[in-house]
Amino acid sequence: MLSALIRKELFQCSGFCSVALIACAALPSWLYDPYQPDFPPFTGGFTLSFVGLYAEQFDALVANFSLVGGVLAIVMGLIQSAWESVTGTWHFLLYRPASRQKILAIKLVTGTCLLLICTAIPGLAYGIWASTPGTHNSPFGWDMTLGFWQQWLTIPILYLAAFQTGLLDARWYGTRLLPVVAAGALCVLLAIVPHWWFIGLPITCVTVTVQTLTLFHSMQVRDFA
Amino acid sequence: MTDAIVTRQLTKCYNGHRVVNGLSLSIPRGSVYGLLGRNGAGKSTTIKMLTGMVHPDFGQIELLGEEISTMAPERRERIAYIAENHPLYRWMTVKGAIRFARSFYRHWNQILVDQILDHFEISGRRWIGRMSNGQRAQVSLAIALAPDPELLILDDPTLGLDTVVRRDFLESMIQIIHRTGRTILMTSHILNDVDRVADRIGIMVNGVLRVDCPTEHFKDSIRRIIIDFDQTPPAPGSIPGLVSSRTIRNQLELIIVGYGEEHRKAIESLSPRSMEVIELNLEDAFIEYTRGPRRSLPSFNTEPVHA
Repeated sequence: MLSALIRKELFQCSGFCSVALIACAALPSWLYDPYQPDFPPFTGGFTLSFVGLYAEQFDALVANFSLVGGVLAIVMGLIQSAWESVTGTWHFLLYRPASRQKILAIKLVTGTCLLLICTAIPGLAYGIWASTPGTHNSPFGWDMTLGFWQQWLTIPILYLAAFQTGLLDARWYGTRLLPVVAAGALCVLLAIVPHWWFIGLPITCVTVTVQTLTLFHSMQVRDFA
Repeated sequence: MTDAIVTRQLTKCYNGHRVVNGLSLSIPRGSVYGLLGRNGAGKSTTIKMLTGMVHPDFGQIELLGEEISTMAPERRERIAYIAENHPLYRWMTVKGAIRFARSFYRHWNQILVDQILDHFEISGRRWIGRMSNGQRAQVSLAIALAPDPELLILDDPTLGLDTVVRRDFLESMIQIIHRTGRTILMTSHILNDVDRVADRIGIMVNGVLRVDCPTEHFKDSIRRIIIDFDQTPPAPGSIPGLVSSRTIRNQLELIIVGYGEEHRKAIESLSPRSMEVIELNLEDAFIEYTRGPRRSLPSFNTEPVHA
């Protein structure tokens, strides 16, 4: 049953994941600057586009990633929750002899893993490129990518908020979208907070825990009318 | 033996409005029960409360002798549910949907599934999304019956199906019912379907169960009386069991529940020129009954009392 549920979630999200992978993989290439004289000319092809990326542009990568990653997290959350409502398949899924909690847990674990894997690509791609000798003329250490990974760790906040939005049975769009709006505001705050590992990380952990507990509670009490 | 379905004072409110109001119902094992009502009467909400999709605000539900609020999810293996519009994952193939559903059950009758699909000529390789409503209904039926459930709950299973598919679907259902003696609760707007399969019906009006009796008893109880007068008909007055009355020129038409000698005498006292008592089929009886003034509808939930 577990493997069937995981397979179902993987298949259901496969279309979105393909788009997410392309978006995330293409992210570094958006930063390619063909007029930068220090780098070999762009000769076409995806892999070569990375060569236009250099350390000073890393901030731009993080900024773009925040936007793209945030959108992907929201879409993923909605696909896994609201889409089941739209197609009426909650009635098929939840009536199987398995508890709502188990079904939700599998959805959340699968969704979070998929999302984190997809969104890790730009950071990994940049890091691997930057750590490869001869690609650019400045020193590189993986700790220079910490800004990216800080943003990456906040992705589940938006994903869980979107999932909550999809589960909410509110009457108004404003009320419905409240979790996403609140999570978005928190993510912006987390992006600028100083001493991230001491302030940002605990806030992220607490938020994700509270969101997860809220989701389990919502799932338990929600009417699937 | 306990009843298959028992509800006590089941109540559900949405936005302060009681959609289901104090529903107390007992459905004996082995029976086919048709739950009827107009749109918004509370049928689907009742079904969703029975299947655990919706939580009641008040009241109790027992399915196959077990209180639903404490029933372990695994126990739902004994109870099949076909939801309205037959929701299945459209990106799955028939085989994929069956494989997915099968993984949840300890007992699964694949031979029966194959027989049903074979009967309806549905290939396992077809995509659910490319199938018609009728074919999806047939796949849903196969999935619902495969775990060999003791109780089937069907929410408007023939909705959106064409006449031939609907008949075929019902014929198959009847065969399966007769073969195994399962309990079935179904809602439907197609009264002929219910008339064909249900041995007992319940009619909900504004969230209240107004009728709970054998199908034949309901049909026998409601009569349309057409009374001709030489002049404008008098007002019918307070006739017991009167559901509605209509005057068309010199003709008075009455719909009466539990028509009997008492009614005949009351009508004769109006000195009519002639009168005709018409029996109604289930559809006509339902329409006439639910078209009446909803708050003052005469209720009946007794066993047959012949007029």
